Amino acid sequence: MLRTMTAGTLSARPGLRERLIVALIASAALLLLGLAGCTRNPAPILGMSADAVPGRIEVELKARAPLPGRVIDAEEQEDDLYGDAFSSEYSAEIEVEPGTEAQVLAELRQRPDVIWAEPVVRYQSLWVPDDPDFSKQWHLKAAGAERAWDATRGEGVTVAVIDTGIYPVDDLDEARIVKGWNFVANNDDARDDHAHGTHVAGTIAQSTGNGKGVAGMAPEAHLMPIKVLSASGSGNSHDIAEGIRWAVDHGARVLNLSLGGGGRSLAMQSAVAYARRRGAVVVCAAGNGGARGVSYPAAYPGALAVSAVGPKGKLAFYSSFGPEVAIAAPGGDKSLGEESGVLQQTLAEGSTTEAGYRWFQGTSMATPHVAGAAALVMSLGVSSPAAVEELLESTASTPPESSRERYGAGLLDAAAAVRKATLWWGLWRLAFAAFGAWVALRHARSTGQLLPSEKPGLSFWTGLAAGAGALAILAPLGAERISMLSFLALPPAAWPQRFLTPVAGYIGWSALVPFALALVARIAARPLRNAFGALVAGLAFGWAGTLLHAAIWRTVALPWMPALLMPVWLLASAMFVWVAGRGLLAREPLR
Amino acid sequence: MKVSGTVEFVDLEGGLYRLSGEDGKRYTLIGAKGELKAAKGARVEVEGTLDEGFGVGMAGPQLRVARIRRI
Repeated sequence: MLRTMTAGTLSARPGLRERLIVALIASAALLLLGLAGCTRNPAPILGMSADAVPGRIEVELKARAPLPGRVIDAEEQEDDLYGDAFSSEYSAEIEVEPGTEAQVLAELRQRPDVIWAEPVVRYQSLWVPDDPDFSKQWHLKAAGAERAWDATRGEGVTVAVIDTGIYPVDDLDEARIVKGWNFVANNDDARDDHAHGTHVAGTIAQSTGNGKGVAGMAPEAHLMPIKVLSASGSGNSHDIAEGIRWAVDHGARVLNLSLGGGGRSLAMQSAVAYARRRGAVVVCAAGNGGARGVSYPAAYPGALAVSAVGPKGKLAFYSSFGPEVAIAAPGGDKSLGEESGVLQQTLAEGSTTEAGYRWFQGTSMATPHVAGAAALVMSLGVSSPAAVEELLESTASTPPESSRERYGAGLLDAAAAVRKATLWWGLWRLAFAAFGAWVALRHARSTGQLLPSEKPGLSFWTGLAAGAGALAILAPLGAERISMLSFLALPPAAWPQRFLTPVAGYIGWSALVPFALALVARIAARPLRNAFGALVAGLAFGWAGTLLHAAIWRTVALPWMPALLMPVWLLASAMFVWVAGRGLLAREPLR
Repeated sequence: MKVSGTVEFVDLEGGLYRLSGEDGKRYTLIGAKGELKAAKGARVEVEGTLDEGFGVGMAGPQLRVARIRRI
């Protein structure tokens, strides 16, 4: 009865149905966005759940004191320089009899000297690679790679490794190593003769899921070897500057510079600025001085300076720091043991031909974690270097101590960055698209151009969702598992730039495609009674939502387009596309 | 230039040799890897050129080794 009445009301008041749909889409999107804004608030304290590791509890005490069970890992704070009220003097992981965890937890939480206690919880991503030594790569998990891989693995992005070269070891897919250049010998043989560059390349894109060795941050990204450092691991500013320019001119979108020095070179500074202007993200190591003072090129404007942390998330003893540090990432801390380094395949010690898996530490090792995360984000259609940096920094997790100079924005969390670029940005696009459609439908009715009986149907809403790239919302649930469908994690406006060339970006990030489709659709009378017309109208509003989002969030960079003009271009395009969609909401095509 | 000091192996960036100089400075040593390996922990005099360039060490000035002599 209620259904009949509702259906009757909806058919009697044709504007009501689309208003309801728009309201539902926009409300759901805004509700979820509201929740997203709350993600920095403390989540409920972990309790015993199915994800808890049996018999394992983590606890922080005000001072060292006896604990129940067996202490399997403990750390005593050396100092409390920053007066952090939440920081402790002693933290430990204990092993208790499985089944007694809840009771032990309750007892610990009652103790006045216990700051907090919680079960150790297992975080499981949808895709766990079968590389046998992946479990030893604590650093990839700490950087959030595992959960990011469910949405993207860095396809279509080239990362230049400006270093000692890359040796084609067997755990690197040769097909993904693109042509590079050797600026030391001035030829095209950019093979590594030191081991440093190959290790760095492995962190970025080691073959992953191949049942061999270890994994990398962005395993589907391409690697470009740019050899600017000799077999001794040193080089000059001229070669490095040339290498930066060459890499950008040959299609690299992310530059990894795990190198540095104390001298300020204008040639190198100019090359970094050039790379930024050409839409590349320049990720650099902060340096290994173990003191205040970031080395160059990390200290240049336009470079993303990376400091290094160990397995506990604390700044590594060797890492330089300073106001230029943008973000911190795992670089290893072998003072805690050999396996607290970063594990990748590279040249075996003392060899220039044999491969081996080696634990390295240094800010050079932290840098490729960030470069890999940048590749993951760029593969989702974020082409503006500033937007990539903002995305990585805004989603960085809270470091164990409060120090902007040591950790920049915080600890790299690639999964959070990918989630923001897919789920949350997808919801914003959808909300903008639904609002634009609602305004257009309302206007068309008020002017009498749309008959009360002409209602937007499934085709219209499908087009709108497609135009807004709404499927990106589902990407973190595992779009990558269906490789043929991974492009659905991107809005269609991003497809030409992502799958063709940067210049092709003008096709997507403009009114061109929806406007052309609208012209075709207008040939048909009464577009909303025509599935194709309705689809195109919806697509136009979805596309307009995408363009508006890109203008506000400044996610897009196009060749030759000044950064300041970009939002104006996108806003104007959004307006044109909206007009094209609105034009299809007429009873008869305009003549 | 000539600098005296002690050769140290530093487990950074895959392994570096550093001279803890008697002038109070620390130099990242470049080249002569075999000789440096043999001189690990020894007091030496290093003759070489100060390299203002860039490298994987990123921990102070680089000294390109021409000759190394135990003292």
